[in-house]
Amino acid sequence: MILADFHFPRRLRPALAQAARVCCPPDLDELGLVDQVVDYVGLQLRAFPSAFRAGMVAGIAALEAGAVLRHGRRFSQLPAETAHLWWHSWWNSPIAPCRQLAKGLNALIALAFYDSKPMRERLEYHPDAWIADAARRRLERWGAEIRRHEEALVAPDPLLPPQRLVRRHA
Amino acid sequence: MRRPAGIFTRDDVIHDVVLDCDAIVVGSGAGGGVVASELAEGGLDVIVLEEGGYHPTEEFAPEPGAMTRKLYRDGGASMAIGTPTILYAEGRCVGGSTVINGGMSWRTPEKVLDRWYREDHVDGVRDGGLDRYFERVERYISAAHQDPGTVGRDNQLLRAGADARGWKVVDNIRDQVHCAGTNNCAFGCPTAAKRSTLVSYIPRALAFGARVYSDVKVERIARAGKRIVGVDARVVRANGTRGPKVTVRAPITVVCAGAIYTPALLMASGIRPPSGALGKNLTLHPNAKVVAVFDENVEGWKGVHQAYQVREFQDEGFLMAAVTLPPSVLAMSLPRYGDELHEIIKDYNRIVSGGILVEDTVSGQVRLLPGGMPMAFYQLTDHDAERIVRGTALLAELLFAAGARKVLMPFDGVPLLRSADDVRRHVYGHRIPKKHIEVMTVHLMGTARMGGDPARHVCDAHGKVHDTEGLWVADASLFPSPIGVNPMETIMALATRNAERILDHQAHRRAA
Repeated sequence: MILADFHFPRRLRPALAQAARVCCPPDLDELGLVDQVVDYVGLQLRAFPSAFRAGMVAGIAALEAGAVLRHGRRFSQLPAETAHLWWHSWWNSPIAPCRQLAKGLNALIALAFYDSKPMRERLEYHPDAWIADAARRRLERWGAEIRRHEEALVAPDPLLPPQRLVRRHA
Repeated sequence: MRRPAGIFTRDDVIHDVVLDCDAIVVGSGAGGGVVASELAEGGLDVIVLEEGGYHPTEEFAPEPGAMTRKLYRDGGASMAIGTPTILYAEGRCVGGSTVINGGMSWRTPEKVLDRWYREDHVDGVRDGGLDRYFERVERYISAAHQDPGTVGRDNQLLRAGADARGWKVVDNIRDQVHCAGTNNCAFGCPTAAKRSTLVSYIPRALAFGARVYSDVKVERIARAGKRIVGVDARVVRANGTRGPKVTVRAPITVVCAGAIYTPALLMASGIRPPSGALGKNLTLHPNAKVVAVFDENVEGWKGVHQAYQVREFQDEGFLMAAVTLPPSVLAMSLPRYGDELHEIIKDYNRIVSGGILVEDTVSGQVRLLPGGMPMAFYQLTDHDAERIVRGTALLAELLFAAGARKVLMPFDGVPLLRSADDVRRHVYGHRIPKKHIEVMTVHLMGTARMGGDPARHVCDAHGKVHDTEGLWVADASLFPSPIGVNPMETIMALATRNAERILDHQAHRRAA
């Protein structure tokens, strides 16, 4: 795994938190997931290419500061309704980078929010138990055949013509 | 976790090293894993260099964020620039994209092979010429239909909808040994039932003496004139910075880094085949998704990933399948946010997510940006965009025929559809701007295309790079055109064929 030495700028955390409130249903605050979502997005950004990551951070900074021109306050300080309006203007912006920032950030926030344990519980998504059970059934029923396959996999090919061998193994 | 003998990681290479071998294989996925195994079995001393890490099956879990960081290039955030921007996914780990794909194992359609022969002079591939390679691959990856009882309700509904419309459906052939239907293919198979090269060809290569260096990125192919003498690589540290040098010298180098990084590596190494086609001809099978909500409980995560394909429209150039994803990944791919998004996702267990794969008619290209980072550029044509609209509309009709109550299309601005009539009302007959279409892909092809004409093709029909000595390609870059079906088995068959040719070359050289 490759994770860059990157920490999401502290000064932009309020903007990211505000974006999370716009992009997620009220369950976000109800379940106290804001910080978790912000941290998760920061972690995911560490896996991104540096240019992409820099673009995202610059975009979030522009989203935060740009609201001052339109609404007189930073994005993170806007009341909910106005924050939605500002976000919506980015989502539908004729300027491709603005539109893409909104979509990309929404995707990251959605990933973080719906990947959280409480939301998985709410959605009744319990794959671990299913996987454990399916894996157990598989081994019970097919274990011997699976072992035979694994053995054949690392055995020399009896059908391989000898002239194919450039140099015989010791 | 104990590592198998022969696999090395960044922890094993703490100083600069110089290695010698008979053949270097760059990449360990569908191309690299196969080539490494075939060459090692053929008696060559093989070193595989894989940029990603070694992650055994025990690490795989239904945790999309953690798994994309671990197994995907760029954490899954790779994209082709154009309108629309197209997200693409590539594996970056031992096993490459075979670790994260759905495991579909289809032979190349005969009409495609025929076209490659006629238009690109790729000898020996038509009239069953590839059959023995397909058979060999299918043996090692255990390509087979699913066992009864492993097909989930999502796929049953897809089939029911297709049957109701009278459309042709086929059972998928997948690389699996008694797949239990855990539906975690995209984040690593947690049972090793899916025969990615991580658990098939790489163990086979190791059994025949190959060495696999993970966390090692090849930066340059070393040359002496036109003769390739090896590669210069670096350990990739955990934070992505460059670690110790890994210099490997060998008379044969086979590049299998995928359709973006293979041409990028050749370009960065100053290799310029005379055709000028290196990096061009990028095709990518655009995918688009349709999400349908049913009244009944579906729980699509309980069952195999993609049991069937709807092939009714294959001649028009698109396929359909049911593709269940974890809620977080589904949510991030939909053109909605906030309450509108949650309105769909809250019914996660009643959702069937379907997708279409389009055989594209245009090509993009890969270029190196300053600093050496490759970037893909691709413009969806009006014709392909129309087929995406038509294909997803037909898929929506299928899902309504199966009993869906509402359907979300992959188009920004199109409302939630509540009946087949809504499909006609809101989709057919409307021009949907390309920038409003959500497109992604996992199939990148064509950027080092093979063929018989050095003036048009980057590689010859067996993957040898024109105008070089000792340099080969064995991945989807070779495809002269898109193939319209999942490409893994085609890559593997071509890699087997290329490896056979390399062994023949070596045998002749040694005999001489």
